[in-house]
Amino acid sequence: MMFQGGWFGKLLRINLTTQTSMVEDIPEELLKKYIGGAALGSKILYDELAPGIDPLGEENKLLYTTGPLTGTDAPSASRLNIATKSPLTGTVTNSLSGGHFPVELKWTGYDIVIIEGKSKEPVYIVIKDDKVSFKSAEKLWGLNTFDTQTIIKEKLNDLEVRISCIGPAGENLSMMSAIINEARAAGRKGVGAVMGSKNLKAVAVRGTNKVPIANEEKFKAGVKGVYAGLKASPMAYPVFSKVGSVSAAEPVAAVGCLPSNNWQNDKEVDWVEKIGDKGLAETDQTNNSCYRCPISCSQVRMAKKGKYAGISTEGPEFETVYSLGSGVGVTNPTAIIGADRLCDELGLDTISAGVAISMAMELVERGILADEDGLGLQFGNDDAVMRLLRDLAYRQGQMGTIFADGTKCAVEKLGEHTAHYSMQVKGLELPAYDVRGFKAHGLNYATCYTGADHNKGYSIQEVFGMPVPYPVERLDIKGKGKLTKFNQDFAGLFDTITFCEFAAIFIPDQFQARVAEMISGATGLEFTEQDMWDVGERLNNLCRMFNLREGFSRKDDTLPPRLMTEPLKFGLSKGEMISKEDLDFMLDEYYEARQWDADGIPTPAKLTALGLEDTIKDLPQKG
Amino acid sequence: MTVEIIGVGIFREILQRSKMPLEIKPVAGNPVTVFTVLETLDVLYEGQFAKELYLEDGKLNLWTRIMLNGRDIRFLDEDKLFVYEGDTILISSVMAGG
Repeated sequence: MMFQGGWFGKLLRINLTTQTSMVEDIPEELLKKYIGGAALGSKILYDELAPGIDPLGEENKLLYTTGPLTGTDAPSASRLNIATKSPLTGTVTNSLSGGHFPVELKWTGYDIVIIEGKSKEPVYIVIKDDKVSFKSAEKLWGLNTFDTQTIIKEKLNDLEVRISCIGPAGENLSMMSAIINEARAAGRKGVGAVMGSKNLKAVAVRGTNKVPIANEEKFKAGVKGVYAGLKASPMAYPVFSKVGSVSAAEPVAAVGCLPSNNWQNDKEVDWVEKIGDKGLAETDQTNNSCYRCPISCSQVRMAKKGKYAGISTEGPEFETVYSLGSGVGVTNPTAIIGADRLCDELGLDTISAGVAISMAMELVERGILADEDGLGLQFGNDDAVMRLLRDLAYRQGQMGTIFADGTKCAVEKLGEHTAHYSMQVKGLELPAYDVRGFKAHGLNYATCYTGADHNKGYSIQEVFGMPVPYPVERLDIKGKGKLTKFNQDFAGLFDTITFCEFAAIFIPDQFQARVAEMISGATGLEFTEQDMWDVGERLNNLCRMFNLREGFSRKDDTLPPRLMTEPLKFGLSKGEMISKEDLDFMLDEYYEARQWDADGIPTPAKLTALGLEDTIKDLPQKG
Repeated sequence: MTVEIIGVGIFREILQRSKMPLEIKPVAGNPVTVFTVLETLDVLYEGQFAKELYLEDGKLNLWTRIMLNGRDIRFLDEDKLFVYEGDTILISSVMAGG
């Protein structure tokens, strides 16, 4: 099948057990329906993974999926999706990152790379256009992610090769480990451990295949529309280009919803002044851009003074300012830079790692757990943070052993009496929004197919005040089911076409239309705005079916006990929480909006309407 | 009476700080509302607030948000818009991040 543009229509299947690879055609019908990125990755996993497999076993697969806009001139649309069954959550997962690796991967001529099996010895894979080779990684095993990339470039004598790799955390199968693409992280849900379980240290790519565009005129019209939308946005260039994602600290903290001290939020601190954009302004700063992104939000910051002087990092992003800052009580912005850099080196998810450390700190402060290694685990002790990050990655020491696989696993080791301090949903540690003050955002944490993932159903209306599709009151629970469906399906599209979430939310009222134009132009096929909404909804239903097949049910759509029993203590959200009754009310609304039954199970009619008839056989049997 | 003003985004820049106390002098017979506070701020900051808050037709700009004690005023009944000693008013331009 020859594609007119956008897609190459080829997938590369690599078997690490046999160290062989083969090229397969991707059916056009599959691409039309699932487009790429998250939806296409999830569909392949649904079809190819048997229910109940061990995510860290040989049967699991690691997919690198791109979209039809990856590697084209479409702005902010060249990201990478990594799809697998998550060891942290047991769900299907999609973890995305930007940078330049995704483009180079696409230019090898493949839309998807599927990695299967397990190598006997550590290896890395080199893909240069149609040539695939397997190289020994014996001497790379144990190295941090930056040294790994440097040495591979030297060995290949190619400074332009782009590399995706794991650090010690992934090698040691920490379920909080990330895959690092250059300095970008496909950070969440333990995807690094899946790579490590296959004895795969890195994937290096170099490509020379230009992505064809079927209808230049139509494609350019869509591209022009996106640029115009970004230019008109009150946030994109005026705020985001200058500050980056840390700009979120201000509206979140202003309403008292920046979590601190493991979500106890027990002290009134001006976090924005200390570690938000104001605090970080005391560091040296420059921008770094993803491929063809006019916003260039990523801030590279270097500590100028103190014990972290000279350390630089691409970030820290807002999430890290929370997880390794307010979450662990650290008020020194340069300490966050140091910890962020260390996480990238070790290949650790900054959010999960920070939340795990904050739980350890609270257990120690409450006298529930002794700090046997003398790490000094008290809120605000940045030295303890740095020490425990290393222990988590190497799975060493008392705390490193207990918390290396996240807080849910820690509770399994320590006992149910510690569950109240474990801030996670479906095993995934909570991101930086105290959802007691953002109800739809909380409903998303509870229902998102991969656990508490803020990017897969971001309540931009509540957190940022965006009036699309309509303004909402953040503290009301009524109407949040329908809103959450909107937000999750909106996110499902940008994850599927590998478009940047930030750029998407800058044009929230025209995103689907612009994407339809660009994809129609790139591929030569006709996509409507409604088709784009269907793509997002199909993804969320397919992933729901995957998880139901794994045994998940309504009882898993929940929130940490602390958020349902402890009201916020200070600020403009004082007294707020999401009680069990509140959550049940919102869940009922949400399931109804999704046309799922009261147990959260999609109806056959809904699945059929979305073209997911082949999953009906997997619906849970009742009675 | 004194109320607390929190500025977010462009409004923090106008205030040149994230929060400040604001003295309001009630006029006899006229209860103080959120809009009284906004007018006071606009006078104090020479029209900069109104320029950001209102559209040309005088309607509130949907891309801004005003909260009285944490509640978005667009969802408050008129009789809930009165302001009392110690209340907090947050004024925000639309933001992003994450």
